[in-house]
Amino acid sequence: MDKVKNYVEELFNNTPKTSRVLDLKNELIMDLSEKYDDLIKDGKKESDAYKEVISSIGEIDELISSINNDYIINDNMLKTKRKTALVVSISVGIYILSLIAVIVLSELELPDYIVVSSFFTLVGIATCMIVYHFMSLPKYIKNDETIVEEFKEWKNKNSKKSEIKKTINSIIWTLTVIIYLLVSFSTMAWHITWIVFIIASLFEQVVKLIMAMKE
Amino acid sequence: MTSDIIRGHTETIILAHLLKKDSYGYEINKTVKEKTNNLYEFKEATLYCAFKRLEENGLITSYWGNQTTGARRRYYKITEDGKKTYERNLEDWKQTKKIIDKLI
Repeated sequence: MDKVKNYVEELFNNTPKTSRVLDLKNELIMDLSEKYDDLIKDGKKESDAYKEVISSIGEIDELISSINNDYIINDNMLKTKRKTALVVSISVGIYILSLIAVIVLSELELPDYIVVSSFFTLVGIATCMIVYHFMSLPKYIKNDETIVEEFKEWKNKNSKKSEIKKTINSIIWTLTVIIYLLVSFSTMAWHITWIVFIIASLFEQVVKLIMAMKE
Repeated sequence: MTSDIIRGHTETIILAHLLKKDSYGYEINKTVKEKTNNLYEFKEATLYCAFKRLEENGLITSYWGNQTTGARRRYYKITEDGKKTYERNLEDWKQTKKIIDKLI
């Protein structure tokens, strides 16, 4: 009976150790063991029973590889999700840090241009990180027809949405620059007008939130 | 005996068995063997591929059974969609049988 178990273990040697695969393996071991016991009960010799059980498995490769495909896609998506979470949280951290930097540097009574440029440097780094990450997301190509179709559908939907989001963002930021320059030149209050960018950033997040809630 | 034709009906055969009661792989296969007087039984791989497809299509669900003796088993249960599919497949088969009987 252990021989049957060992045989199945070997079949699953090169498969990923996901719960689905382990479930299938255990199911197979249990079914085959029961079959083996029944054959012994019917008076079969151990070696004959073993042979019959093994030959009754059939072409299992296809089944295992189809589970593997599911796994690879899920695994990739999981990794991407994790990376996205990391990049977004670091970027948000830098955004917050940039505000703190402004406050601290102002308190130190450093010249405005240093305060403003350190703010923009930090904001720029965070923004670059986000943009780079989302531009470099991997494309998924898999053999399994249905999964590919589903994924294409999903991706198309998403790219349409992100197209809209990008347009809204560029409108917001262009408007912000125009407002900043207009207000600054008319009031000459350059030391405070940069706050427009923070408001714009806030506004952008609010728009994002509204869009996410509508979905 | 050509098993290709039978294999094409694997899913319907499984559904037919699950209509009576929830069951697991080996039990279904044992019943197939008994009902056919040892003429036919599924390969394990065929059976599990069918389970996977049926589950993905929402025709069956699976759960872990509580077995007091021995290890816990994964049981399969037919869904409402599964019952409908079974009825449809049965009608299809009756029609096919009628036609083939007339032709050969």
